Amino acid sequence: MVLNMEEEKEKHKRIKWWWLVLVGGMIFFFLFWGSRGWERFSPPRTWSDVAILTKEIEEKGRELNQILQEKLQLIPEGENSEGR
Amino acid sequence: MRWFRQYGILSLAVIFAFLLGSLGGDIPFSYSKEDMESVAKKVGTTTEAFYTTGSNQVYYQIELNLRTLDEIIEMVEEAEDFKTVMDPMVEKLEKLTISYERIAAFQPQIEEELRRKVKELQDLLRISKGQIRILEDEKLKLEEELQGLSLEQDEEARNIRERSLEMQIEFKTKEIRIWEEFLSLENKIYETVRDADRTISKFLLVLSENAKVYRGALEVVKLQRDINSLANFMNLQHFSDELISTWQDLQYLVELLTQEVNKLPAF
Repeated sequence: MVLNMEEEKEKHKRIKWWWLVLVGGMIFFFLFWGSRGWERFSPPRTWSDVAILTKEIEEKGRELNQILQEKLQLIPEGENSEGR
Repeated sequence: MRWFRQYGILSLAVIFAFLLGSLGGDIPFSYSKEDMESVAKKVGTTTEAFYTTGSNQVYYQIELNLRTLDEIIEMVEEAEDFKTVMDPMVEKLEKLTISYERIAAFQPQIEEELRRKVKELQDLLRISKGQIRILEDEKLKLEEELQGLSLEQDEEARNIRERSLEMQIEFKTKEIRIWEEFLSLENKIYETVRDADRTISKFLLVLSENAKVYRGALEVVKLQRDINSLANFMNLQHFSDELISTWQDLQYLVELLTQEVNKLPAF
């Protein structure tokens, strides 16, 4: 009986440790992600990469403009402005 | 007495080593392959550092804006009635504006760091120019020595010295030519970086102006809730193309510069 209790205690202790490792890992992961620490391991972005991304922004901007224009045409005149 | 002799010898050895060291300072700098290699390496790292200065911060913001734009597009596409998506759209537009304003805030610091890198390249250019000048001086000295040989009485000794000096001059000329080719490539890199510096400055200016345009559009949208004012994006295409090709040019030039080092024999 005493031995069983001891085993039980030991088991609880082990589970506690596993929980601690899991929670610690999660905290580390969130802190690491939050501080953008992963960027240390990724190659630095060049101005060329920035320019490529900006081109994508431009394309998206054009896409949005086009969608907005199409949507605007569907709205009867005078209804596209709500006013305050 | 023995103690005095021991320390006396040791002191003399130290003084001798010191004198030898100070003499070494007077010996002209060696313009070996390693020196060129070191300059090429520094040019490579400075160029790379130049092309990544501040870019990470700006990249992150633009990446964020791209995601926000995607969300806006999705919202607009799915919207049946604009009035229902106007508030979340204004929220997204605000996010976009803040992000561009952050880029605008980075601008002075990034520009200062870029200028510093350009200056570093300018200093490296000066080192190469200085090395060529010293090599030319050495060549001139050898030529003067060759001219002075006519005073030599012993014909055999004169011939041996003449041949040796001619070969030394030939090597020096070759060395100067390689250093000049190296300098020309270094100069090209410097000019490309200087142009890139101007382009990045203009690019940052456009992004900063974008922040103002977005802020303006946001105020109008907030006031009027008018979707016409959402369709307001600046054209960044021209600068983007320029920056992409510049990096490719620079990488190619640095590669050429590294190859130039191999032309120089190890002395």
